[in-house]
Amino acid sequence: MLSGIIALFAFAYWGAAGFNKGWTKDKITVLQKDEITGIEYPTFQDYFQPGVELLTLAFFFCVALFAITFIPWRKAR
Amino acid sequence: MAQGALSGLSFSPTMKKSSLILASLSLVAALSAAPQSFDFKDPKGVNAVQFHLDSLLEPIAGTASGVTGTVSYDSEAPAATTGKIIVSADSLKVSNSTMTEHLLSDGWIDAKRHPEITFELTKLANVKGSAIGFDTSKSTVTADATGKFTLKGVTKEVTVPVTFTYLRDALEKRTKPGNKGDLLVVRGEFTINRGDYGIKPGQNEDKVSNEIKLTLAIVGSAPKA
Repeated sequence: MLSGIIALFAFAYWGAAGFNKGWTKDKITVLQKDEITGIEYPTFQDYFQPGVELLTLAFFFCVALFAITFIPWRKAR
Repeated sequence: MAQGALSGLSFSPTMKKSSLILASLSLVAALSAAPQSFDFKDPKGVNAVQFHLDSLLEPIAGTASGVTGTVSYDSEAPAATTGKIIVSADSLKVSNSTMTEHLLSDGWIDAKRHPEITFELTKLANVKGSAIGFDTSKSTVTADATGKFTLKGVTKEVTVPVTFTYLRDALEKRTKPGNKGDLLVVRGEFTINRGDYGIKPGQNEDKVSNEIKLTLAIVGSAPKA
């Protein structure tokens, strides 16, 4: 059950951050324009956006957690 | 005989004055037609070279903002343009810090050992252009710029289609009143193969493409004394 909650939370977090199907970003590019020259130039702003590699990592963690529950632990006497 | 005929002519004071004005105007025209040196270290931080390459998950886009260099440009004779643009290798940046570190490492750009990426113009061909409409303060010239492009210590000759936009007396509009001068905007786009410059040649091409598209949009200023 815990693994399901974590998986759901990871998916919701990834979705809320913009469904980024690329790599994780810690900056976003904002284009600005110089009025006199007409040059469009990029500036960077700090912004964390998780990518699919983090989502995949979270799912692997959840699957591993779920798999652990099937290990027959010896009951203590 | 002709000399004798000329010596017989006498100039009135009005004619002498007109000749003097004409000579002065010719001198001013000759002086203004001289090539100007444009400094591309932009105080407003607008200058950037953008790079795009395909990768496994999504295209990687980045920016190099450390642009310097000078270009000697004559709006009356743009074919005679010379210059060198320098990009600081450690100014390369992508939207992921870890990826930026990899990019600057010795396996890729090796920014510590090769701190500069340069383009030195050697020849301009197919120069075409004119003033924009009736506005003589602005002119645009397109050309094929051939030059020596150096990346990671490897120099190769490349030809880049470029556009020069000359903005007469536009410096003070961008900076501060009274700061007289002209601006030169240079735009260009070209593609290189990273393998040609010793950047992991033949390696990881399934993950990061060999082709890198470079887009340049920079402005230089030539203050008037």
